[in-house]
Amino acid sequence: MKRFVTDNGLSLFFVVILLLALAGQSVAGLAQLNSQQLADGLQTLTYAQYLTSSEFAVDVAENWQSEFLQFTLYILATVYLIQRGSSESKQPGRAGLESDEDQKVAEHAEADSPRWAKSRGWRLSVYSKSLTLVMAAIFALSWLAQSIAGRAAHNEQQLGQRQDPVGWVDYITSADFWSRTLQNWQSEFLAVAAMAVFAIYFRQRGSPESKPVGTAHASTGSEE
Amino acid sequence: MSRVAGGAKLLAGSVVIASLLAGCSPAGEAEAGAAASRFQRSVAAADWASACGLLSERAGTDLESAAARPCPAALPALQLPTDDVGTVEVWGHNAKAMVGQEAVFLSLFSSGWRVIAAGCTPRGEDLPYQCAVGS
Repeated sequence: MKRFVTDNGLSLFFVVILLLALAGQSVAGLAQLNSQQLADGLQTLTYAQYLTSSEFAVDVAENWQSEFLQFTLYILATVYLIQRGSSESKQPGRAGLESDEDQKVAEHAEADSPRWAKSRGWRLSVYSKSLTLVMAAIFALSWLAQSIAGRAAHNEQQLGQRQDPVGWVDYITSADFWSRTLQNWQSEFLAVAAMAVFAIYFRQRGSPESKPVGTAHASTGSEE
Repeated sequence: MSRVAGGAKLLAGSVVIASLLAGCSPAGEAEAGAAASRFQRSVAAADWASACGLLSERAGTDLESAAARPCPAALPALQLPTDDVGTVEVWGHNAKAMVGQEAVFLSLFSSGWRVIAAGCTPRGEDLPYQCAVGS
């Protein structure tokens, strides 16, 4: 057990703080919604009702989709684009998908390489993009969930304000949908841009996300 | 577990998740529609005390404040439509029921569905309905 925790500390830490943050969000979100319900002369929700409500679902989904979009784009962009001096970037001249030898696939695979990395054909093609595919799929599903839950929450609010509900197509072209979407996207893109640039000039001793403290600003990529 | 049973459970689970996300509930439509029908029957029968009993607390007090008289005395002057309830649409805890060319808006309270606005006519796209009760 102790060994498991030590070996998986990074994942476990983030799963735990994810759950704590979700719990906090649900408590604060319920209080905010109930405050509005009281102001409108409507029934307040119980905690269980709020956890299964479209309001909670859209608030969660809109943040999830943007996080997975961020990583999808970052994984793809770092294949082809360089940031000179950044530990987040490959070294200049290495942009692109790289050679089979560099990627240790097919006949260049090693004994303990993943099984699909040793093959050729569709398995290698899929496995070579699997990280992007999984991230992109979760992004797409989260964004779809945001659109469905967002429409439901928006329509509930519309009825409470004596207005007509809208269809899904109308919702995904609405200000509510794009306001929720873009306010999350801009913050993710800012964070990635800041990380790519800050990693040139700033250091965190001991972190693989940083260059070693004494490494020159001009040094690009992790040291071999 | 057979593949068919597994597929059916997956489908059922997906429907439940999609319903939760969308806030849809066929039972909600039936209950909201029944409450709207009770309100319409009370109005048609000029049973104003019953009709007032189906208003939300906020709608009732706002009506009494605006008319400066008790709800059962204020409702008749509003000339609410007496049509039967047509289409009902429910989203979460709120609903709209069409009665002729006008609409009744309802919300779910611990005591059941209550009318939060009645005698509502559309004022145009993106604008709230103009309501005789509960504007």
